[in-house]
Amino acid sequence: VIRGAALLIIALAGSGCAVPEMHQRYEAERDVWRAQRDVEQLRLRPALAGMPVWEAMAGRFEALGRTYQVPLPAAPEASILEAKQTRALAARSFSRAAALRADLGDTAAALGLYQEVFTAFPETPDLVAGARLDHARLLESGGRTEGAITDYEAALAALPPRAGEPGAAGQVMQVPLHVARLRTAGDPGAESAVYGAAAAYYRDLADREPGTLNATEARSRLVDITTDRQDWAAAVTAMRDLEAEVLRCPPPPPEDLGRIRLGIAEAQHSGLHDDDAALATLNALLRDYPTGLSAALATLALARYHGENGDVDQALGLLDGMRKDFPDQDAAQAQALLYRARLLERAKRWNEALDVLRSIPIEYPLSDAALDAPLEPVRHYRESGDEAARLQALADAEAAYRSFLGRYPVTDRRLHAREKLIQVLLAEERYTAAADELSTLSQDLGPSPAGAKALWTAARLLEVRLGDRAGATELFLSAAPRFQDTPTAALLDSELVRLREGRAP
Amino acid sequence: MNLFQSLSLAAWAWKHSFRQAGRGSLWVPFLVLGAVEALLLFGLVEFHRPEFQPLAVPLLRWVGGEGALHYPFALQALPVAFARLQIAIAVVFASGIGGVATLAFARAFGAHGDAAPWRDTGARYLPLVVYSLIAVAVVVLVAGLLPGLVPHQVQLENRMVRWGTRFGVLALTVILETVFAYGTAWIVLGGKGPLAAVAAACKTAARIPLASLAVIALPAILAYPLTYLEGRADVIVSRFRPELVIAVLATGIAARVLLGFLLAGSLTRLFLWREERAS
Repeated sequence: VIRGAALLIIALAGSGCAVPEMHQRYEAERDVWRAQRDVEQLRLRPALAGMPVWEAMAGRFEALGRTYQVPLPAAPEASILEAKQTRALAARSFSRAAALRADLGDTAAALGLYQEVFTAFPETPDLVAGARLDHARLLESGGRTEGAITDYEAALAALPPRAGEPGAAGQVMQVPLHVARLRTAGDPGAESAVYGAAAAYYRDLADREPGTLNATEARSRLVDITTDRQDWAAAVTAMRDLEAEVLRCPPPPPEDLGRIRLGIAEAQHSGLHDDDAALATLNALLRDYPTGLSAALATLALARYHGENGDVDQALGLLDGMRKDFPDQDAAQAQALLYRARLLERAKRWNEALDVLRSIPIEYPLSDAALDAPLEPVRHYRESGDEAARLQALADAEAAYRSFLGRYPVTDRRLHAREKLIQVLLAEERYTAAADELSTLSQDLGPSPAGAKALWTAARLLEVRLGDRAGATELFLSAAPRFQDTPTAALLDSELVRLREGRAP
Repeated sequence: MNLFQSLSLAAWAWKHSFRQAGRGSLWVPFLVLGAVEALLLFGLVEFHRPEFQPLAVPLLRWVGGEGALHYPFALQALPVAFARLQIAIAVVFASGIGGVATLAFARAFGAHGDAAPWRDTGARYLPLVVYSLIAVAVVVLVAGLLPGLVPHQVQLENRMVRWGTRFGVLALTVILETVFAYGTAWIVLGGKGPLAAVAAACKTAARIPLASLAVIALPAILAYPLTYLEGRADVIVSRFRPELVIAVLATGIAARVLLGFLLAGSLTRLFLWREERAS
């Protein structure tokens, strides 16, 4: 009550201190929040949101941007602050409108809206840099690499990188490496110079801010540079520098130290072909960082090393130990079981291997190994020339994948499972069923290049393997609305013309 | 007086109170209080307008920091800010309104026929404010202490403990309000000062404890769903439309007008009955 009375007195004393700009800022927040909520609801019910709805939504964000693009007052400070916040909302609205326009395929409008952000809102460097990055990505996807590089570099110049932060400040760290990749793709002869410039940038950043997230992130990019250039000796050095940098940071470590060691071992094994060094690194990893996924994967890598060198018993012993030491590392355990099955197969203990393979989908149903396991018997029987067993294994694999698709309708591994199922159906030479699954896969992948590829494969199966040109035509016609306003649309039209004219693919 | 007799007495007081519902003049104090609350709620909702900023912005900043000045978090902070404002309203305004209502009901029940509720309450305004200050301070402090006795983590983790604490606070508030229920009547009808009114109110409540408790508890229980919703503004804002918080608070104001009428009428009826028996 006393605080309330004091508040009243303060309020009355401060009655002349109202900030008129606060009203506009609050209204802007409310309008932008509502528009964003409507976008989220439309995304949850895509069936209700056709092109006109999204067009209207883009227009709504653009209108919000124009409404709240208020001028900055000269004073007082509180008014300037409120107006800046309103303008930031306007800039965000333009960026959202641009992103929606880009999704709708209206690249020119999207580029114009992004440009509006980085020319009209210089007081918000993070939003300007974000718009520059999005503008650059759009140019890059349209093949306008030079323009994209200019924008990427402008974003980096506008905003110093702050690793780990959301938004543009966290993203601009990637710019020097990304620019180097783009320049190398355009001119392979420039690789050394452009990667050298990027490396100099990251080295300078890491040396300037040792023991920080920025330095760790910069050292990670230096590792990327060496692996891009397949300079494995330099990669090992860069990863050791990264490990040292992570150890300099205050706890908890910003990167998994075990994963870095695992990367070193991989570079030594696959890049430098120095197995002794890789073995020493893996053993050191298990000594220094004995818990977690990296340690489990290191044990698996050691088992693989011994397995590859013919020491099956030691490899199996390591896998047994792994099961005991890392019971919670499901992904690694599933891979270990798959490798155990392969080792047993190699040791001519096929029945034991088969038991292990059958146990993987039961123990770790949502792992990659669970999706790989049903195809192992198919390979085994094909190699051993047992056609009846191979066909039975294919039937079992098909049942396993169909069961997975029925049982897990929302997992991100569905696409992987459907791809495997298609692989099985093709091996069984059941082209109609394979075409059906490819069509479903294409629908699941949406209007993406991968979706287009699945559609084309399905149509080719119908046309070439089954001689069903009408079926192929029907398939293309039913998919046409999905690819409307994408680069695939023109290709799809030309395929339909070709099919109508009866020309061969 | 046994439980059955006490409940019969409470029902009798409610019935008498309901019978007066057709008298427009008796509603006036409650409608005035509702209008003031509605105006203050409007001021809080529209805190960003220059005319409301001087009072509303410091209050919202006090309850929710800088975040409470931004949409939609302002609506999340609204129930707490409004609850704190209501404490001030209770002392400064509702105390007087309670006096007016008590006098008006007493006249309607046939006692104090010569009373002029608004004028007579004006003369007793200061004692009413002091009494209200004491009562509100005790209720807020004691009821506010109870949740603090249960570790926050336990409340978060255990549903039973959480609901137990909520009903514990509700029960304690009802008991404390019962203790202070007759103070206003003692000041405006009995002519006592604020401190004497505290003692007299306790005695009256002690003489008819269960009936008084029932009369106080009924509106509290009826209003509990709204009180609960006001406490879950975060859920309303994140899962539904943030503006629903305003609707909940506005419904609360309307409910307080109706329940305030029932409560003031019933308490006045019980007070008069007790005094008639005592004399």
